[in-house]
Amino acid sequence: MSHQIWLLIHPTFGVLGMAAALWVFVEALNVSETNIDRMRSAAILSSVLIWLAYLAAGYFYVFYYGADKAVIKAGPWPWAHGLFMESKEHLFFIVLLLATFLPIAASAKVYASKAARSLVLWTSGLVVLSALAMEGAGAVIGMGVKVALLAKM
Amino acid sequence: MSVKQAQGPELMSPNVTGFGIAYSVAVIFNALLMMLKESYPAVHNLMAVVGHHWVTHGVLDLLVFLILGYIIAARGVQWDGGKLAGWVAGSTILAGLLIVGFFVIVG
Repeated sequence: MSHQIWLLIHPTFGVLGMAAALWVFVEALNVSETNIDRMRSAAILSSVLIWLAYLAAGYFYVFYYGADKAVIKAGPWPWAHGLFMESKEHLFFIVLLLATFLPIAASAKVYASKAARSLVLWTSGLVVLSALAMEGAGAVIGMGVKVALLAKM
Repeated sequence: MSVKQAQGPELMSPNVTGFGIAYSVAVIFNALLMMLKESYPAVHNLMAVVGHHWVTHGVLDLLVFLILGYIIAARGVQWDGGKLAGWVAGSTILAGLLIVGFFVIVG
């Protein structure tokens, strides 16, 4: 049980980081001098949460995923590793770097520049969409383990 | 609407510009390094010399982002925000397609 806790912590931080990025997106839609600080705080929060999701995932992946990988590859859904996990491993770096850039983009005078607002909208929107894709891929990988274990019964 | 529409380019600060460009370069670097690593076992093994290949991969991505971002920002480069948004969006989509496409076709 002890190491499986990382598989619960990872998507929890991930979905909270995604929600914070959505918060940034909504604040940016109606940005002004009155809500700019709130938008920047949400951007920092999103970045911190996505980093925590990455660290939790990384710890599990490096130390424990090998056993799950063997189960998936021997089961009826080997592509849950070959396509989804392999892609997720490397797509996650995009989400991580996007979330790291988000507070930097939000440091611009977004309330005074339509172009700066566009940059924040694109960056936060892409964090939301890519984090959603990560959550979906994670579900497929988990199901890959499940169907492999069920096939053995 | 409180956001103003400028007539000319709306220049971002050197920090925003530098790390925006560095982000775009780092995500493309990430995709290309993945292809190289997955295509050549020697590269994969080399990246695993100092630990897990995936950890090395992440550290290299982060170094590209931080070092390139710092260098470009220090040079005082300033880009229009719309152009930078295009780079961020375009590089994200391209890197995503390269990664998923590689595993669909090769994997």
